Amino acid sequence: MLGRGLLFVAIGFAAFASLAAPASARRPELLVAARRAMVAAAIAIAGSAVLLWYALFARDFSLSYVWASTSRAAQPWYTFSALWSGMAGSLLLWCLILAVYAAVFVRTRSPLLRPFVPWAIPVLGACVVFFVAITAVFENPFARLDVVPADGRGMNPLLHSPGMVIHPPLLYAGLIGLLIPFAVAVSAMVTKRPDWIGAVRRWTLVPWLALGAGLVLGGSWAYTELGWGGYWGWDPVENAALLPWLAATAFVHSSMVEDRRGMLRVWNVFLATAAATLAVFGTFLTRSGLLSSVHAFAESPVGRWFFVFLGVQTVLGLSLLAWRWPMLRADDRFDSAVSKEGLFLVNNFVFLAAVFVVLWGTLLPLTSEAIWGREIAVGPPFFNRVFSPLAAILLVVAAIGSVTPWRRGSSRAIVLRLTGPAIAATVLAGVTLLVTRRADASGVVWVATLLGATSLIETVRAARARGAATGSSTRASVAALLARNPRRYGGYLVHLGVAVMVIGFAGSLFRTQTQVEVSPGGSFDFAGYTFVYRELQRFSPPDKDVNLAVVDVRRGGGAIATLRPQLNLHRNWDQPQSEIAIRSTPRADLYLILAGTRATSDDTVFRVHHNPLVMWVWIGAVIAVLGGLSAIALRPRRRREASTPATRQAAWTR
Amino acid sequence: MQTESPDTTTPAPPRRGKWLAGGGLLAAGVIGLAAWAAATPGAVSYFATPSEVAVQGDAAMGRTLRVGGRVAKLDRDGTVVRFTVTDGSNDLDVHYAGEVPDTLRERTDVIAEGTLAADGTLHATRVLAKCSSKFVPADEMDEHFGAG
Repeated sequence: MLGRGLLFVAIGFAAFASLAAPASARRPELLVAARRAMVAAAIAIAGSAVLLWYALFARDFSLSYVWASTSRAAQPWYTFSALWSGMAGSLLLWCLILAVYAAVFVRTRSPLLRPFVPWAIPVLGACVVFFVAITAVFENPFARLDVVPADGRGMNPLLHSPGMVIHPPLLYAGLIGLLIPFAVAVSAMVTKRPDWIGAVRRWTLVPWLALGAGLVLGGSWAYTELGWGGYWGWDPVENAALLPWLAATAFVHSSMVEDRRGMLRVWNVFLATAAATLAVFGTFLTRSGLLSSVHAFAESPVGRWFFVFLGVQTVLGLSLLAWRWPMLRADDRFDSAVSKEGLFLVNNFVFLAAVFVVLWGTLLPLTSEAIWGREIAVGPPFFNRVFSPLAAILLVVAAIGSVTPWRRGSSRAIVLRLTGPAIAATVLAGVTLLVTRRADASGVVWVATLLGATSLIETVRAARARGAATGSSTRASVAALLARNPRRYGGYLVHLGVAVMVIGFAGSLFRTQTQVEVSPGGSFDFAGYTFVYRELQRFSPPDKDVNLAVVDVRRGGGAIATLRPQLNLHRNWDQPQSEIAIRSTPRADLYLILAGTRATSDDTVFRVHHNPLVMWVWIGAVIAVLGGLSAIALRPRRRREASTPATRQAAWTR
Repeated sequence: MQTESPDTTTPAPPRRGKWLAGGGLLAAGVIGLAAWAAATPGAVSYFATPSEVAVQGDAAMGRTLRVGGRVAKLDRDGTVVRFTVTDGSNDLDVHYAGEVPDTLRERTDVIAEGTLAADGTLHATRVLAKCSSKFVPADEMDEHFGAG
């Protein structure tokens, strides 16, 4: 089969590149060959993916994967996304994204990054070889059926959503991209080159942003499709993607300290390794069967190989770190804890603490079974409780860090600059306390406002100062600030977005829900709204039975919306699937689920959620993504004050 | 491990001591935080099969349990879902009035989380249909796990 053959070709190319690139120190032409081989590997994998896409669109049901993931009735978008709807195909997508990252990376024109390419290639090449081999050997997406069925079974109806088209590729782009900073870190260790952090700036920000956006999209998908009324449930699969993001966020912050002050070198190598390892670990968790049970894991060959890969990755990262420890000496020392770098370090510790508790909680069912022979699990109450104080510390530290200079800050100046935000935060928190009588909500509002206001005020202040100096308008100055120092002001925009999201999270403290059974024509009251159940429509398109309820929502006498939740039964799947109806406003979401119907009458069970402030989670995420994008798109003006390159080079070549 | 360069004036031991103390304090804080969070009511649950619940009897009453097994006899009528979880040798009746996952069907694997009532029924507060990440239909589940 050509598709599978191409995968083996890709393995060959990647293996060649991995061997040729390190040898290029003596024979430079080998580097050219290695680069071309990495590109060729990517083309071969892309060819394999295109063949699978072709088979999906051509409805070639002789392939087991095509039969399982598409059907004649499937719409083009869901035929396209069918590529990653199953294990074999999603591994192929993983390989494709990895190979494309590697191919773009080896062709980099950045003079800062180029010295790291020869030794980064073996790392990336080994990853390509490993993942493609897993796919081709254990999970062949091109496996054939003995008898060709007339029609495919199709994708699970739960996956028929726009989220399915965007979310998995974005999440994968985030997870896999974290392998690039890791590969460059390994290369820096091997070749004793100091300046890898600055070179890899964008290659860190891109996956970090993609992963963050992927997490939010996943949350919005769960919220609008799965019908449990929430966007985050501390599910092990969600945690698996959150862990590398936490490590990557720590890395994004601490890499600024190294870039600016030449400190935290060991720490950064460690974080790059941790983020990449957790990224692979996340894939491993969701793909190995380890989460459903230890026994399923033991039976899955993919799981065991993943385990080996993770072991090699961790040992490689840590032993390189130990080997080059003497060379990772900081250029400089901390002058004071009251400094940007000091606060970045606090930020890092908190992120790392978050990684540990989430990891511990996620793996507890496995470790407890192994140690005590008794499976113990921790649920959302644990994670919420352990995460809230850590998040609060992070927001406050971010606010203080924004107004603290490098090297040594004066506590007096910091307090002065935080006075405005603190007053705003205290006023809003006070109002929240009066209105809601909830101390926890008031606390969340305080920390979120402190950070949001600090980010806004600092940006406006800098823009005004610049406007006064150059005579341009404040708005033009904000754009100029972003262009001049995208890392700082893009970062402030991200912080503002996060603060807005946190306000949205606070809304979940005030969620209410109810369940009612009404007949058509009847009505019920909930959360200050009146729901009038107009009618139940039942109809049967070819593949399913649809129950569609028409419900008018009234408030204060006037109709404000008509909601149409559905409950569909898919015949191929013998599975009900809910289509939730949501009315979203900045104040709150009304979230209506058609939970069930009686067989004997049109009496219908509805579940209604009143979810305050959910929209602000999405608005905040959009702001944060815009901030992240501007930090990536705009090139920073490079500036260093710590030490001269010559002394740093000396430290490395000693 | 760390080689002290000549220009470093601070002697090593006090700095290392400070780092160790700080690290220890931090680790203690994190562990304390985790322990405090784990003490939240309902945060920790014990996994059990229906047979284990049967053996424990009254001892399991009132405790937060996660019972895993295969769904038999699912009744979705009205606002309440009742089903039986079986592990082949013992059954446990589950009573549930919350969000029902779409993937919950007969012959699928399920984890029901809740407390055991005096009549021996599990009053579930959360129901997770297993294999939701794999999205495999019921007949194929049988291939994986052997028909009930």
